[in-house]
Amino acid sequence: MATLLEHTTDVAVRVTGQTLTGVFASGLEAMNQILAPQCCLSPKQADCCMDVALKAPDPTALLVDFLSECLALTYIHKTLFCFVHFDQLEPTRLQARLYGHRFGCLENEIKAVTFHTADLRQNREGVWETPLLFDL
Amino acid sequence: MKKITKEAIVQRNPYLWEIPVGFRPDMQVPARIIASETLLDDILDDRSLQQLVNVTTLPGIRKAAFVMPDVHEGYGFPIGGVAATSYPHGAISPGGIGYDINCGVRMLVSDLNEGETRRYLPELIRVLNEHIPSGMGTPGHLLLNDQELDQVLATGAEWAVGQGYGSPRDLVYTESNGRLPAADPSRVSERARQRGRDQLGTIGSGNHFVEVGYVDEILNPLIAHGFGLREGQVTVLIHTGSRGLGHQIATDYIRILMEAMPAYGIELPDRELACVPLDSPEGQAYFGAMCAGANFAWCNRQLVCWEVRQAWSAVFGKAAGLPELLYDVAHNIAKIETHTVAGKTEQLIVHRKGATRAFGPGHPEIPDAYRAFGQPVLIPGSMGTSSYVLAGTASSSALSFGSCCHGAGRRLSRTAAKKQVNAPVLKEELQEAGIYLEAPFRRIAEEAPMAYKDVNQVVRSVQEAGIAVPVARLKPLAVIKG
Repeated sequence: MATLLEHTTDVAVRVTGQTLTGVFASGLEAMNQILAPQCCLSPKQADCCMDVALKAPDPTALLVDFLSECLALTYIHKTLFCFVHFDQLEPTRLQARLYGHRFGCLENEIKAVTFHTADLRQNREGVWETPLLFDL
Repeated sequence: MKKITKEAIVQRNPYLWEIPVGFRPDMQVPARIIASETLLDDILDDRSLQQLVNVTTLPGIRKAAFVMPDVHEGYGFPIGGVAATSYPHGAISPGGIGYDINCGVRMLVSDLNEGETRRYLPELIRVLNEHIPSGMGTPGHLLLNDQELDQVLATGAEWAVGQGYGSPRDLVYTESNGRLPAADPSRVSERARQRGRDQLGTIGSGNHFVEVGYVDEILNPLIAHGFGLREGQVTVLIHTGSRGLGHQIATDYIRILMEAMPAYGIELPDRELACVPLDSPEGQAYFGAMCAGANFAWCNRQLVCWEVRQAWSAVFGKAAGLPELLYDVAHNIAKIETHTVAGKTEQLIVHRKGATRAFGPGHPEIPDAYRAFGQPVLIPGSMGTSSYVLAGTASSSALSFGSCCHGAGRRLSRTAAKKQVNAPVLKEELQEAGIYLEAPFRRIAEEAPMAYKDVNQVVRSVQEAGIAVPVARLKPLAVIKG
């Protein structure tokens, strides 16, 4: 799940998930909603799939790296990756397969996924959450 | 993050404010704000000044960290920030430059007058829109191979001119002649290359634009004459940067520098400020890549300039003459420059993120024809309001490392703007006022004049602070946004 936060210049959201997998998927969903609102809500058959394998020093860096990688692949392959399957997801490493479909034109250009205020951790209820700022 | 209130700020003069060292124990230098009191009150509304205080903690920072009157909240550095660190051991920070490396503005001037151009506007905007790829996902007209991309990264706008997309004169009137010699294409990742390969000659989306306008009022006749400006003259502003290639360079190196920082004993309050000493291996790699990204941006603006000229010829015919370049300035960049600090001349690493270089008269980096007047500083307003041409002053070097504002500065978030603006109505109102717009409704709402500060107040602040002289005010006629 993602909720919009106030930010003068860019788009800030708080992403949450009951599990690490859930919060990573929420981050991807939030990013896609900015790039092409509604586009992932009506599922189409995937016409492209890509494998991603990443390591990072902490869960926050892993999430930002994962989204940055998805963003780069989106632009390079002109494909919106609406679905992700994690073969492995630990706090500092992941292996995933992205499934997507090609797009014509995106509604917004995200320049980057930033580390600004990002801090992925479990709250007292055990829910994973972090703010994320996308540079537009 | 500690909230900053007006009580923490000391007024140095009516347009210069300071948060003294000691406001937070980790501050190395004061934080200075160039703004009128009215603008300062607006600035206090978001987290710009907390971010500015974070900047004062950078290793090797000299004199003060500055923000301009158009400052607004960003990430790491605020947008509208200037910081100089000692050369060569001081910090280089990708966050002090931004993801859009060498985002900047290019201004063209034509022989045409506003009156004779108005009837061509619907046709002009249609043809400009055909010639200039905009929006996200729309590729440019060129697809570069590896060798060509290396040449672009190494030589910037020179490559475009060499291929026939401009004249040698264009290079004379581009900051740094459109090429940073320290560029090292080998430091640019394959990912960045993939993202930039088909993007030359594109403006992208967000606040990037091509705007046809005219000189509404000459504010300094002597300098305006020196810059070749006259009342009624039709102008073109181009605002874009290094596109996906630059965004990826910043993404790559923020990550690399974040992991390298502990080896240099650097701890910072925001990971987006990640930095290393410039003379470290990681610092040199980033600087080489950043300069290559800056070169890509200059080449991009040169290509867009060529597309504008193609459209111009198609609409007005060859006899009308092509619009000539007045100047091209970067507003997201770091450069090695010489300034005076505490009476001593020093080489510094000057970071400008949403700030424009504004060298005063006599500076050797200003083109010969303008040197007596100061460097042209281009300040686009918001869509539908005035833009300005300013000139840098000698005191800008003394006060703010030869830097000035870069635009009007956002005051409303995109979401707030979309809630408050009726885009179809605004488009109609602008058209009734003689301004043609080519942009999706959502972009019109996000970029509406009410989403920005009053550019007149911003310009007044830099004028009164003594860091720039207003030369001419421009009014828009037609705007293309991605």
